[in-house]
Amino acid sequence: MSSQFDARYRVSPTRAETAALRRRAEIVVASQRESLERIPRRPSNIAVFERWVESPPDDPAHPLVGYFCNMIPTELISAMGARPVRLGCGNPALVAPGEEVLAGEICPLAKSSFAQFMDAGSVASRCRALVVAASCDAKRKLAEVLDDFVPTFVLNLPPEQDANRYSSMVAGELERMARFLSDRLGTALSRRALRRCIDEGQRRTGLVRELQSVRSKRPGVLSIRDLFLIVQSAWRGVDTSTWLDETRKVLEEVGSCDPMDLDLRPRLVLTGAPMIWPNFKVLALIEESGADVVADTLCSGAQGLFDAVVYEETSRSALLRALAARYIFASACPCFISQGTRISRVLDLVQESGADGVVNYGLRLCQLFDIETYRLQRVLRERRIPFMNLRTDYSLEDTEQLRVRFEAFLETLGERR
Amino acid sequence: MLVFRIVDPVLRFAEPLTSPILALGMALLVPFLVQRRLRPWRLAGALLAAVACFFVAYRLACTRPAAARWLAAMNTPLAAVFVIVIMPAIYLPPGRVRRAFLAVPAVILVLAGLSVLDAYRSVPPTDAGFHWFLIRPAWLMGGVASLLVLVRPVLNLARFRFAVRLTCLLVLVYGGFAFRKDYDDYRAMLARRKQATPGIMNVSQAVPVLQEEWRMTYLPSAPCRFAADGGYVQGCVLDMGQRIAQVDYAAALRRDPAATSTLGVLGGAAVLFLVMCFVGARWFCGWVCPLSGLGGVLDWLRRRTGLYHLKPRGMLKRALMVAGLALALSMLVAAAAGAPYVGGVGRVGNYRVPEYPFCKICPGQQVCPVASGGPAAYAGLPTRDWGYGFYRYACLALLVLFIFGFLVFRRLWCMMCPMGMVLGIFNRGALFRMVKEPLKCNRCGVCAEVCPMGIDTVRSEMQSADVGTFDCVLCMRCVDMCPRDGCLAVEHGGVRVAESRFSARR
Amino acid sequence: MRTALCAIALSVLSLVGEMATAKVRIEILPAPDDLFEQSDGAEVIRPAEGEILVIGWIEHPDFAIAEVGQMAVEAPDGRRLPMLVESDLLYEFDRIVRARVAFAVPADTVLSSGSFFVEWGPGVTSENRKVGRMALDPSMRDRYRTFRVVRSETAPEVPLSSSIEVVAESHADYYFLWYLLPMAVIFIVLTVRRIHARLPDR
Repeated sequence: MSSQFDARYRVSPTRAETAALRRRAEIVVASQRESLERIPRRPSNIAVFERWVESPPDDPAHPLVGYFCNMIPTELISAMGARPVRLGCGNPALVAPGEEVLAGEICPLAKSSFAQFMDAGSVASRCRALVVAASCDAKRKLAEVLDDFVPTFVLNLPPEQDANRYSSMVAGELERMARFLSDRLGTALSRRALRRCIDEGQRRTGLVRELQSVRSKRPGVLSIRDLFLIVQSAWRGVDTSTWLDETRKVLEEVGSCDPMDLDLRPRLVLTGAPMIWPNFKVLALIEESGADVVADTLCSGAQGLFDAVVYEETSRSALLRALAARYIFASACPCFISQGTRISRVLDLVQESGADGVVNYGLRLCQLFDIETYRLQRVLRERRIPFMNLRTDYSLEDTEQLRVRFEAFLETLGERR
Repeated sequence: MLVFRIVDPVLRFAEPLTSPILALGMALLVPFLVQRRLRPWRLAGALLAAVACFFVAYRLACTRPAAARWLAAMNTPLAAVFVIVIMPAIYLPPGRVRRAFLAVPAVILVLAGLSVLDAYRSVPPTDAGFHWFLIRPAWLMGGVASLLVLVRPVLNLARFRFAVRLTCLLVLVYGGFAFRKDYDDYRAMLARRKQATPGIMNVSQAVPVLQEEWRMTYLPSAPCRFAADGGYVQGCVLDMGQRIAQVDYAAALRRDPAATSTLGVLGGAAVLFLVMCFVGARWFCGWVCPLSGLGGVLDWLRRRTGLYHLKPRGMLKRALMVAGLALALSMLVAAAAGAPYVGGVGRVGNYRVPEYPFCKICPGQQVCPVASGGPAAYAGLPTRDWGYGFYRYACLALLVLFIFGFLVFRRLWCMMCPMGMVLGIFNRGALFRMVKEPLKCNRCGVCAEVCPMGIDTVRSEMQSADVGTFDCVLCMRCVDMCPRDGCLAVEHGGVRVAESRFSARR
Repeated sequence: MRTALCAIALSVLSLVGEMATAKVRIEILPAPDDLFEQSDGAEVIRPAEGEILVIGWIEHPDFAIAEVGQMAVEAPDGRRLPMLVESDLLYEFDRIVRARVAFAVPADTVLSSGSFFVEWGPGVTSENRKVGRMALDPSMRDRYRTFRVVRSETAPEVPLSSSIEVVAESHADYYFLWYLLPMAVIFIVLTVRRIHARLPDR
């Protein structure tokens, strides 16, 4: 299969001095772990999830295939005998090194993700292949850069989420992705394996929905940060059945908790840009200020596993279309028109969970989320739902300013209750 | 049997229950009352009072012999089964009363079984043996409906639909042979079988089970009378339509008794038919129609091979609909015009005139005999003296379209089926309602992907909650597959009969 | 409570069933020759000693009974006479509408003045027996009579009903027009609901 990139102008990958890079990254992780330890109630096996999120377990039989974006169908990667690992990076310590190479006004996620590749021993560099969704400009061009480091495939996305018009196109792109992976990994895509992975994914969704429904009623039983750890570890090259077992233990524990919450803390719905570990600054802020996130629409949060792939026919084309339906057409990502999916989801969650307000997390330098705030704000104001926009980047310096603004917002909520 | 000595007089007393007028009245009254949220005893009392009023009115009307005749021409056991078994199964909320109600279908099922044994008692010892199911139509309909109602809680929606489709296919296609009324009827059927010469252009002498001198029962969708031995019911709406077209209206105006009595019988059949249309709309297409059941077998074959299906685009669908309507209307006109020349009595030009022109080109008349009687029942194509070979080529073309349509396109035939189009009128505004909660929809498009009719409205409608369409055959696959809980639902008279529940399927 | 009582009362009322009982006069006439034509397989019915057998067709526009026992012949002295009914009955809508019957009458009753009546209805019971096809013995010609239902009269005690019967009879041919009523109801409900659904609901 011919490459999507021009082979004539390849450059050798830029490597950085790894020890200092790792040390700085570890300091950030340690400080976030410290704040996690202050959570009053945590599941007993949460350490397992913390470990998984940092580094995927070793498994020589199944090579790692890295991907960016929630829109990549991980079942397709798993069905070809590889382990999908999500490489989006949330570590602010890696932004500066990345910025030295990829200069310019680029979103911090792109910069820090790139910086991972400069370390030849990191998870990112150990991947056999990379799949990047062409969701935004940064990702599309980043993919071109990363092709010098690890063989990369760009999954082209339709401009509109119109399944009627673009279902065939996406199925074709997924077929192309399967062929790319087959070349790199040396395996072929079998329908049976794909169905097995999809069924496992459905079980994963079932568990996440149950967790979500428990938290929606009593958010105090499980911190939103722990929920994010659990969800994000599922994307870190962990064998699905192992993840299911550990998560079931968490569900049992939280299900049997005695109700200690007296419904005093304000309930919020969180929406916005991805918050990938260790970028839990805003989550820590919200919980430490005395509010609870009862539901979220983040692709890096519960929403990322909330929908499942459903299929009826088992032909290759039908299965690929089923993947397309869930991953592309049901996605709430702002890279598509229209944003009705995301707004509907916010409104539905507010209604269902009886939330007091909505918090929108915007990542600085992300135009998509910034422009979406225009409509989101106005729609919520029309429906008299309290709304707050938190725009920030990865650095921890503006934490206090955000805290002040956020606490003021909570006060206004308190008056309404 | 002793049981029937008690039960039969009760059935005679309950004759007004078999009137579709009561079924229609209940179908309109029950949703109205349920929406008022009355207390259960008041609701029961109101319904009982309504039924009692109807009984009195019916008996009063029957004191005039003419009225008795036109009321009886509409009656069918299906109406009674609907009121007693099916409506409570749909409208009773879960609870003690519903669990108590389940005794009714259980008793009916037992009595249906006993009725078969009772019929076997009249078999003379010289002919003892297996004669299939000798069962009076009322007990067959009651027994089948009761069985399905009892089995519903155990099966999920997709399997339940399969059970209903299989049952309807067996009864409608093989009913003319395997489910005769009694031993004499069975023997008469066997005698007719020996004499009948299967011919695609002849009106066969087969007599369907539900045919009586003064009453014809037509079922919506396409239960073809050309199944072996006449099938179970009289036929489809086009059979009725062609007969109505062939009535001598001039004679009827002159009060000719033969013409007025035919018109009376057909009128009764039409009222019953319309009541069934109103109550079921295109659900009959999705759950009952034996042609689509046979087509489903072809669809299953395609799935087993792992081939994907083709999707008909908007223009093709529109063209098919127009073609189907045009064919049906032109054949109805041909039936009316050709009525005086029918059956080889006369010829128009040099060409013979068929009695039922539409049936001669409909794939049903070719597929159903083969499905029920085997390949021997297929009598070949019409010869040239049936109209320039029109019937020959149209017959062949539609048969190929039928097979190809189900094999490759999922339900292409249903997009042109004139029988289905009559039902499509009742898809919006009658009792069935396809409902969507747009806030919960994530636009994944799985509903459009699994829809056998290629409907996109369910996926794309984001403003209104009512997403019913003319084409929808109420197969409920979209509801079954939708990954968001509570997003899609099907309502009958305001009561939810199916709702999307991802967790339920796991 | 009240609605339940009403329901029970109405159900009991409906048990009354059909209330149509009619009584028409019949005329006894000498037997015409064509009655004595032989036909195969027919059973020869002979009158007993001192009796006359009257044979004929009961047909009347209002004649419709569910079973053979629901009709009776009343002699002038009020007695009900048992009938022999030919099994080749004409059924219409599950009811017998025409029957060939024979009944035996003592000779003196026939010659005396007084009217014979035929009565039918659900409330009427009579010991009637079904037989195969009936034939008459030509050697006993004078012992047979025939009868004819007199059409222009109805039961003497309800003179007003005759005009209603005539009116009803002339409309009986158009009964199928009543079918348009439920059809119209269905389509009107359908149209109203569709218009209602098309109106914006938000």
